Amino acid sequence: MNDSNPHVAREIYRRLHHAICGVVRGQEINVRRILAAFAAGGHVLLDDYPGTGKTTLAKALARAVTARFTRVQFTPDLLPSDILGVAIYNQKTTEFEFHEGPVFTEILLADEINRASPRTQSALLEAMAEGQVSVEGNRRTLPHLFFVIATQNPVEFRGTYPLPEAQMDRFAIQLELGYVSPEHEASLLATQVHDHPLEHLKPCAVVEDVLRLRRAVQEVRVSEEMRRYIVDLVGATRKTQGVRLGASPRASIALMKTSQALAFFDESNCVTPDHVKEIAVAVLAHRLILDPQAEFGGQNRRVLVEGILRQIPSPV
Amino acid sequence: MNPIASHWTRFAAPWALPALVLWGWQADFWGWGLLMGLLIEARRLSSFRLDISPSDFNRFWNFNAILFVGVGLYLFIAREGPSHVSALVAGETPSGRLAGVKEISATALSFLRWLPFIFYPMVLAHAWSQTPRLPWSTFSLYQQNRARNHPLAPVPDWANRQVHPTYPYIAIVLLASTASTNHPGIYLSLLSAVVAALLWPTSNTRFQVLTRLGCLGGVLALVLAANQGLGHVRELMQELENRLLQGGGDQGFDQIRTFTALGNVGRLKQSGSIVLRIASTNSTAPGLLREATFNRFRAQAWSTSHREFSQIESASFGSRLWRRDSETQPTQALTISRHTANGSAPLALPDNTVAVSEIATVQIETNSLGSARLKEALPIAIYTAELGPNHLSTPAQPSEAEDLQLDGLSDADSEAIQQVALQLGLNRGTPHREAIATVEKHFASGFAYSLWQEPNRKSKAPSPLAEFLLNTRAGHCEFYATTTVLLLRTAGIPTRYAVGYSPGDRISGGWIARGRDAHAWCRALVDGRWIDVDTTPGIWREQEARRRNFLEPLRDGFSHARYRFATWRQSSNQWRLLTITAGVIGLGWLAWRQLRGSQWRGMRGTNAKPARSSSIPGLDSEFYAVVLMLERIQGKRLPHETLLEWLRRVVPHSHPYRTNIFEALQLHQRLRFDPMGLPIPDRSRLAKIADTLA
Repeated sequence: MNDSNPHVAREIYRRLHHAICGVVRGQEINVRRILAAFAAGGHVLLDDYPGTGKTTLAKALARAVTARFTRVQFTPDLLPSDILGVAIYNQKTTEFEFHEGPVFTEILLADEINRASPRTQSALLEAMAEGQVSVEGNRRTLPHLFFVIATQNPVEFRGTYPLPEAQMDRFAIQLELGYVSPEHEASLLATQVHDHPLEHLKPCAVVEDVLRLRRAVQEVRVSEEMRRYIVDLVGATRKTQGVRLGASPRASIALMKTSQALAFFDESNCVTPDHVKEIAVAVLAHRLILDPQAEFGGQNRRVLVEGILRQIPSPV
Repeated sequence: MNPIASHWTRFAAPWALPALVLWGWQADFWGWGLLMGLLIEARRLSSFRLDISPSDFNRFWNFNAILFVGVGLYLFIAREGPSHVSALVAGETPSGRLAGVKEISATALSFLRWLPFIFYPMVLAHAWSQTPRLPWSTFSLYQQNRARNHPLAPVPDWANRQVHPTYPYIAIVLLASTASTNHPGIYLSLLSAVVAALLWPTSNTRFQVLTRLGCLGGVLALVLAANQGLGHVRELMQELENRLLQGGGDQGFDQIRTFTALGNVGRLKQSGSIVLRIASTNSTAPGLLREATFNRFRAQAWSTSHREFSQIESASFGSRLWRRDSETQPTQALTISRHTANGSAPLALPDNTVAVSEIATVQIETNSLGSARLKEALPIAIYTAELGPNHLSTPAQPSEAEDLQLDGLSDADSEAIQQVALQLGLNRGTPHREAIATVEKHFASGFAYSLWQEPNRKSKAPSPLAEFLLNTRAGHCEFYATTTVLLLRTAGIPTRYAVGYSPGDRISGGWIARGRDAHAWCRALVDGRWIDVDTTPGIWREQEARRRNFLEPLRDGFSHARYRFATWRQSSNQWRLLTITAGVIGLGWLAWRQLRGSQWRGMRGTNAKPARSSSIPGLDSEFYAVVLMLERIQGKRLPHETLLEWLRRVVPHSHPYRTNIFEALQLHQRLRFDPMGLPIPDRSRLAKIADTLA
């Protein structure tokens, strides 16, 4: 297959989207955004109440791609070595042998990530940012396609530790799935009378397809003016009242890349303000750290970012 | 960061006063230098500071740059810069070119002297501001523009480096002080002292003070020694230059002595450039125009027996400058124009000239042989020669003993002349007219015209004249003229050697004489009148014209244009005033704009929203007309709304043109946001839809 053909890559996206939406009903828009982060090479954090389909969605994505898949259930007693791996002394060879942990995979589902202690959560930092792990002084490279999809419960819940800011910044987007409409919930019940639709999900892409999709996304053009618009948006988060720490330049990069992916999905060769605005809340909101006053005053990060989107004039 | 660059920013403001005073002393701006220095240094006594923003500094700099250009232009124009440049580029003679170079460098020097004034406003403003240092980008118009148009573009390293403007200013002041050197010895030591004092804070404090002072002293001694050496080198160069210039001396302008090309081997190079322009109502050629006459031949050079030129008292001739013959009434006139060098030019005149008049007041000088020249003329001298009948009856200047002299010849020349004279039967007793006819007849048969002289191949004839007379029998006009003069002298006829022009090319309304129309001939005193005896074969003109360059018409075109411009400039006295006024108005307008802080306002599409910068593509999109129309009907778009969001809001699903609108929007967005732009067919599709919709 030809790498340079965007139609082929777009077909891969359509197959993935169709497959996942067949399992998770009523989440078409969120699936599109998750795939945007996936195609842009970013990681995804799903955040909502228990039972809203976070894990199902993550598993559906993992199953749709024929790739090495591991799942880590984060618990309060989980240790960093449980994720990264551990060196064990081999008495026969009288040497330490490294046993790779679950992080050495292609798609990693970190379920309920905020139930582990910050120490354990932080074990993923290097892996997510740089695609490599340093254990016992050795640098070990992760597979080319390394994608983390994590789920967490809202922080106010019992037995949760909030993610460190640095860890939050590593996720390209954070999504709240929310409850689906009654119609969709009814059809969901109908599909689950005998067995779970996840069982019928057939893989529709291989690792090479995903890498091809990522390359095609990188070809989407971003004009000088759009880059400026993105920077204006991200810059505004640093100046807004009630925000202690705004979004980082990493956020600008993530916003540009995910916008490129959305533009690609829309069969556009260039990013338009619509793409940026569509994904801005998902990319920016979780990175903001509010003033304690604003936090306790009930300020919502998403509402803040939406306010910024209304402040900055859009290029037309 | 570059350690040297940081060096210049580490130290506090230096003292500008000594440098300015030194400059004031040298450039005769004593009071100004002192005042300017004191104004800058006064800030050390006061805590008052102005608050000047970086953009104001940009404006100050732009103002200074305009001032720089303005003063430069003013000096260039006021000091006749264009004509000097043209003299340098297209000068005919080495001395003309040299004069051009000298004038241009004099202009540059006076510009240099003024530099401290030009950059003073910027430095004064900085000295009294709170800003300690300025980034280099302040001084770059390009960087300023870039920063305005592309705020995100990376700024090069050098532009971010900081500089204390007083340092470069002091360098400029010191440079300007070198433009004029009064008392060079004292000046050099003072200059060195100022530079040493300025550089002292930057000296390496790891060494002892004495060591540093010693080093400084050593360098100063070296500088003084080098200065002495330079003086000697300059003298040497001057000498060399003089020698070179004399060697290549210009024949046309020296009426006292002319070097002939006799004895030069190879081809005689003659230029096709236009020397004289002759306006004449008569259709016959003007004939021979004489520039100079000589009577002494020595060592292949003709010279005059009397070197003195005497000024002609024009006042006695009424409206004319010079009346050569007060009895004869002029019957026709030739108006001749030519370029002058330093206001001087030989008068090329026909033999039958009775009077000369000129447009502007000038002097005419003449010598005993009748050569005349203009003095204190304009760059282009235009004079009218009033001509009498072809044969003037009045007696001309008497002959001199020198006109019969054959003593100065080398032995070989003398032998050859005597041999030919013997062969032709010329002796003191031959009647004059018969002798002339004999010589003319001799040269008319068996002699050829040639600009080419064979290198001497073991020839028997030991001199060029003998070679010409006895062997090759081919040469150019100088050979013919010189040998005719000498042969006629053997027959006892007083003769002289004349040089000038024989105009050959017609132009509308007159004639032109080119460099290659230069000619030499013999003048003989027969029956109390000087007549022209031209023995050069008549074919010489065709021979010369054959070597016409194919670019000559083009060159003539340029020459005519330059001539017209020069005469126009010369005739209208207002032009300089006009140019300067226009320049002042233009520069004043620019400066006012800069100080007022307004930017260039380009023309924008009528419907575009105000753009952040001119580099945004697609602001000329036809879709904006559709947006305007929809806004009138459906209400305004909110500033944060994208076009897609707004159109989805305001265009109902039932809208008849909904699909067209969204297709046009898609094309518009590609035009606006795709850096590769919109292909032309798509662009015309967009224009078409927008046209239909609007």
